[in-house]
Amino acid sequence: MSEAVISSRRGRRATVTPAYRLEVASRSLAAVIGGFALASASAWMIAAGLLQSGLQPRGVAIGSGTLVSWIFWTCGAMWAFYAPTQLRAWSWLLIPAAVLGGIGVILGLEV
Amino acid sequence: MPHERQSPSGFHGAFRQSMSWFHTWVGLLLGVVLYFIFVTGTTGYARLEITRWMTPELGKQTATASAISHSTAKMAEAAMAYGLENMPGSPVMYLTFPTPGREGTAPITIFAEPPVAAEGSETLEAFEGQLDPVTLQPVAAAEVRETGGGDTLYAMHYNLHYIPFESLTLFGFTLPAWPTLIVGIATMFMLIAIVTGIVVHKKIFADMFTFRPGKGQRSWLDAHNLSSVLALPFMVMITYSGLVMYTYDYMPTVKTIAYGVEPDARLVDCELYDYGCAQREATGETAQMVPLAPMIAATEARWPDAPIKWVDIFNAGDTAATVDVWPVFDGQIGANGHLSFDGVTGAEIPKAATVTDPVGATGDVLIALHEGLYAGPMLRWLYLATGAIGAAMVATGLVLWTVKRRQRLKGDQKADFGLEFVERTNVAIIVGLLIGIAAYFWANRLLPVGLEGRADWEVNAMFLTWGATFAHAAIRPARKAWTEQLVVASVAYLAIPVLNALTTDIHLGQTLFVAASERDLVLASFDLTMFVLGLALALMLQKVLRKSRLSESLMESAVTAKMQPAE
Repeated sequence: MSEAVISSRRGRRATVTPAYRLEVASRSLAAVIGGFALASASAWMIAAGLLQSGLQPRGVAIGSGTLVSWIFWTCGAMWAFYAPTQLRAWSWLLIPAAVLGGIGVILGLEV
Repeated sequence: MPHERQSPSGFHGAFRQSMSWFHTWVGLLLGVVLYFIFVTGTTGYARLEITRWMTPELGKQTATASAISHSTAKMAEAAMAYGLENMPGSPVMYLTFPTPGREGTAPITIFAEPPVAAEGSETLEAFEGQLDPVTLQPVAAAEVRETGGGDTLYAMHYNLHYIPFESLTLFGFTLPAWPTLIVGIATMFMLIAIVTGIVVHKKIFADMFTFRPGKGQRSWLDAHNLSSVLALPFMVMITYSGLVMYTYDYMPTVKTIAYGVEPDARLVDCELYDYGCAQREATGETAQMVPLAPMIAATEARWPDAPIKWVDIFNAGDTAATVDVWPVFDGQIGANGHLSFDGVTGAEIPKAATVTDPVGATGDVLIALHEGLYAGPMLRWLYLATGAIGAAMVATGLVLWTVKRRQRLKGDQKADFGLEFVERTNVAIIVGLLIGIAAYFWANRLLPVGLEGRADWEVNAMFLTWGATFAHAAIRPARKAWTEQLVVASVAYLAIPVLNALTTDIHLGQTLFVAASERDLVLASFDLTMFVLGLALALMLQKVLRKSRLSESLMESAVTAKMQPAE
């Protein structure tokens, strides 16, 4: 691995360590799995909220939730790479997912 | 986290770096799937035109032939009778009619699902039949060759053809079927790759106008940037709308809020997809169907500019029979609608108000953008071009990966297995798939008409050929593999008009080089497009040849230079 070289932002050349690779892999997984969790939870909450408020009939509410969820996923995936640390990358995807999903479940149960 | 990179804010400073890493590796791993989707999806966009070329027995569609009036009412009546005769008690029957402009005298197709089998007896196979739209007589297999046509090619970009349409159930949630799942994952990664790709760029606007040819890695990077940035709105649209099309499959948990874990499929179809809302439970008592003509007339009166394309009949011949009549809204983006009727009384069944909601309309527009059915001729060519640019984006990305690593090798350092592997598979992916598609068209002309399972063999010919290109790339040096496969590909495409002339009478001599009233420009465009594609491949071949000659002469001069001091 020591031969693999990347050029850093400032033009210096740094060695890619296994730890670095692991971190990128972890962030990629956060982007995909964490992103899906966030997207799914957001869709759930939006749909349940719209249903609960009576703003939209059920077919339409489900449609609204899923249409918008892809944007959450994409933003979540960006965050996974933007976050200063791995831990924050994961936690700021999973915590909102749990909160949104939780609200969604509570709202959804009453429908 | 201790790593040796020196940047003031740790990973944060390497934001671009890690995105670039993600972009590179996801692109490499999913490149083959994405390239396949782009190529087959783009080709399949011309599916009606391809199908016409692949059924030469149906002949030309000249101005005179187009003048044959299509009486949808008559066609529908004959098709329903034909379906009922061959599949009595069918729970759902789909009739599809050729649209006057684009399809002309293509056959009417009838697909009838078999009745649910009684306990202990086997389920019948569904009935599939074709009627001639003018004579209304069944089209015999002996008259018109059996072919997958453009539809099979088109469907590959989401059903991946050989992969069974089955799905896993996890914690009570049904996952999308395998092909849908694979395509969905690739699409989602592509959306992320597009967004990360944009971020990796510093000068996105400048890249739109930057191409420095003949400079190795730099040129490949430029080509990759140019193809992605030029068609960027298309790329974002086609990936996002592709996801939206299967959004309820990809977000399977969401619909449980309203429909529970084991949803009523019929209710979901109606409320989420606006499909089959009017259908009712079959009673089992037979009843005489009323004529379809008034229903068709009512639908035509409601949407005068939209020709009737589909008629779905639920429980035909039962007292609970219903009929859905669907026009096709060519030239109108996102327009949608159908009317439902009682099949026994002929009365219109009014629909629930949910249909005109803004969410449904948004979804309709996105799906319409993806399918591009609304587009007129010029825009259709633009769709084809941007689709091809998409394929080029994936292909140049794949090549860039290898060129970058090749250039990093020092002196006489040998390429490692990974680099060799990707270099070789790239040839078979990029050129090989095109050879495979050419084989699909060749098989259509060369396989004997009337061969058992002919349509399947056309597809098999395509994939066997594609497989052979991988074998070829594995045993040849990468550069030789490029030139040899490019030779095969360009000859295969250049020869298609010739092959067509030798095997049919819908060749250019009949479709283009005749009096204007006898021309068929759709068929002629197919032959010409194939020829131009062949020319483009020949041009690529010439580039590759010149490059390899250049590097050979460089190597020779290096060898002579080394030898000289010894003399």
